[in-house]
Amino acid sequence: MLRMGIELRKVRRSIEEKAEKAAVKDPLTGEQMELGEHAKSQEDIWQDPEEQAKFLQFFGAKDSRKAKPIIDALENKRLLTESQQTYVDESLRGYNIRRAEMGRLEQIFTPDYVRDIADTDKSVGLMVKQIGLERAHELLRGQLEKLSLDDAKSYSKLVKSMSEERTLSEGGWTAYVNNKVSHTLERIGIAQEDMGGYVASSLNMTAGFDRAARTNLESAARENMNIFMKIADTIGAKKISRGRAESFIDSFEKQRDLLQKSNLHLADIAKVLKASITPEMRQEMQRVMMEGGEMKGVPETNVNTIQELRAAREEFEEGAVKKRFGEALKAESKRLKKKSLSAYSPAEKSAFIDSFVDTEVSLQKKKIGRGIFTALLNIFLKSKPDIKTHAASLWP
Amino acid sequence: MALTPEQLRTEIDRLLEAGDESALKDFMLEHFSELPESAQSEMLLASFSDAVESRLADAKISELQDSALSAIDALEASEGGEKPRV
Repeated sequence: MLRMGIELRKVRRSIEEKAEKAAVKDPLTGEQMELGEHAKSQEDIWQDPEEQAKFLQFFGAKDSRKAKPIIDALENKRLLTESQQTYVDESLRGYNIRRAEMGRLEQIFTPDYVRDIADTDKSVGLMVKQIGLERAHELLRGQLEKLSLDDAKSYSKLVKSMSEERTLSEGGWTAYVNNKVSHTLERIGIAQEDMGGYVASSLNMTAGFDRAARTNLESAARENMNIFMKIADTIGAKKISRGRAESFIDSFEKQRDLLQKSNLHLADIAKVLKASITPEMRQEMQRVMMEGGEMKGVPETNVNTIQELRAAREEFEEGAVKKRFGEALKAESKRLKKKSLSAYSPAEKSAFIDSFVDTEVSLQKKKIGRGIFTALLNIFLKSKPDIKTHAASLWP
Repeated sequence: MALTPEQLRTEIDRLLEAGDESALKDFMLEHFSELPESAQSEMLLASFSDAVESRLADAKISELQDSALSAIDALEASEGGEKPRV
């Protein structure tokens, strides 16, 4: 019976190893990747305090309720049960994968890359100017590492975007195409000075951007994107690339009939191109693309306005926390059939407070801000040790 | 002038109550280096992620522009290619 159990465990481990191998993908290329030097054993991790702290963060983020008794057992040098050991093994494999991915990311996430972003984005530029490039890179690296341990999905999405953006923008390709558009429009008889006016006149805009003008701009941006997508379909490439466009020209004869069947002609395409190099339209088109689903920013946010931030702040004000504490204690007393608080043993009291703190932390984690709201949430919400101190003071 | 943590918090509370998001954003950016380190890290990552996504969208628009240029070349090369009338 015991032998059969051991054999079953081996089979299960073998299946897990195969699945694990299939799951290790290079975050930059999407190809299979070896863990190499990132394949740390449990012993390696326990011997390195910094590594241990990171592993425990990853371990706790995965499933805090499952992790807690294991961490307690490890701290008190108690033996783990078989299921606990299996859970630690699984978590270690996940942790090593994150380490390997982070190692790969460092090949593109350099101070030069941060500078490049700061040069083109006003907000990032202002922040980098104040704290310096090296410090900004250091803070971002720490945040990326934290994200990789806490939220693998958001982390993978961001890494994929960084990698793709870097490949597409390499060598100033975006600026090159914009210049090419200007030259082409001039060559085919559309003066550059007319370009800026096109968007304004076609949208019947006068000056500035009032609400109606903004609505028109948004709708025109969508229309331009639709025409662009039609061009893409006409060329017959679902995923457009420079290579595809070149091969299209090579096989022009075969494609000509298809092109002529479409309603697009030179003037239509030229109009869209003109709009695409107008800054306001370009910005709106970017927004349309980012809202398109696939390119939506990460993570999903739910604190995006002052009203939502105020609501989040109120939800975690001391009075609100005190109310939740009282309700949770009442429910726990009922569950444990305690007639008075003096009937709680020190261990039961401690377990209740820990559980309450975990619940509060989970509630806080559900509040995800965008831009400045993420920093404001960080300022308004208490850290886990502070929540614990507050919760302990609430015990009547 | 650098503000103390208390002054920062008071001003943030005031702007929050005023409900002026633009002024709040300007204030947070202007006093970025005075924010607690954890708030700096969060704000930097959020803005950095947005900038990356925005640049990626921009690069994808360039891909589409490039395809449109190819279409123009192709139309010009064809006998029946129309001249633009905009």
